[in-house]
Amino acid sequence: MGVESSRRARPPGPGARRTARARRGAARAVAVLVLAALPLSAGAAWATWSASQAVSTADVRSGTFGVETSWQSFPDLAGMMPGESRDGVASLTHTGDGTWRYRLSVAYDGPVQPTVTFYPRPTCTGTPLAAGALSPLTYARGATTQVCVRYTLPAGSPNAWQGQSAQVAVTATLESRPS
Amino acid sequence: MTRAVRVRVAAVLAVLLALVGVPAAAWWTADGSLWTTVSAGTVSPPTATTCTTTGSVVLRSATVSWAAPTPAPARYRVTIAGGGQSTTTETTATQLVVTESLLGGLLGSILDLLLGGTTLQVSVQSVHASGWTSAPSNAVPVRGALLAGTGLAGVSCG
Repeated sequence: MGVESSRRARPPGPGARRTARARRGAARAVAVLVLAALPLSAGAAWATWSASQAVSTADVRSGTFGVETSWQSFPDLAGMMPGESRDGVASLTHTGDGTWRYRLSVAYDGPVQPTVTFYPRPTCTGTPLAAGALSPLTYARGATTQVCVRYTLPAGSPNAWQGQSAQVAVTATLESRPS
Repeated sequence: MTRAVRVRVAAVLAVLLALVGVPAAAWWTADGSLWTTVSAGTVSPPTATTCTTTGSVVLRSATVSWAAPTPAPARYRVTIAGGGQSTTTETTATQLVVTESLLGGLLGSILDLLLGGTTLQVSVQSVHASGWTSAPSNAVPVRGALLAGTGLAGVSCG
């Protein structure tokens, strides 16, 4: 019955065992290479799951920043003569958000141009604040500060200014600045 | 490190700085203006300028007087003009005695005009301490005082 093998089973020798081990190692190496190459191959499907959810609905709104100016003490600049000075006190009130500092400037509309000196306080004393310079202090949100403004008709004013007039504007520029 | 290497390092740092830049600082601003009207004063001229002939018959003089305005100026400038010429003198008083010697000392040609019979006009201005001057007051005339037979005998009004 059956076909007898003409070959008889024999226990493998040392050479045959080495060969088999080498083949298994090579096969494993090929398998690793194939698995490693799978993602790189053009046909491989590659997907990553992700999930997201809004943590909160934050309402971002910008602040406001403004200034209100008024005369606390109105300067009477009528009939000024050369060498004469008159003072006024301006009030600066911040509206809106943030801390702030200020700069002051002057502009003229007319032939008569008095010298204007600013003092960062309610009295025209102490160290003046140069036009365009940043105020020495930083102020809180909504704070009010006073600036003393001194108008001086220079001693060397031309004779032609007699009886002439002009509009003088003092402008306060508030800047939001960190405290 | 050679010079070439240092130059390259500096160039690379410069490029990096240019790319990185300086953080931009920005802040909000708000403006508010306060307008005022400034007017320059005027220097008021003297008022009530008059001329009075004084002195003796042989030596007359014309005393020109005026009233001080309010506020009073630092001084007065008196202008004597005639024949297209003029000269000035200043005083802190409210009068000036016009004599031959005064005119001769101010401007010889003015005295010559007086000798020639020309009537001179005397006007007064207020002078502020700053140098500003007023408009002239009304002018009063002066002329040479002639004494019959002897010629000029001083200065008189009119």
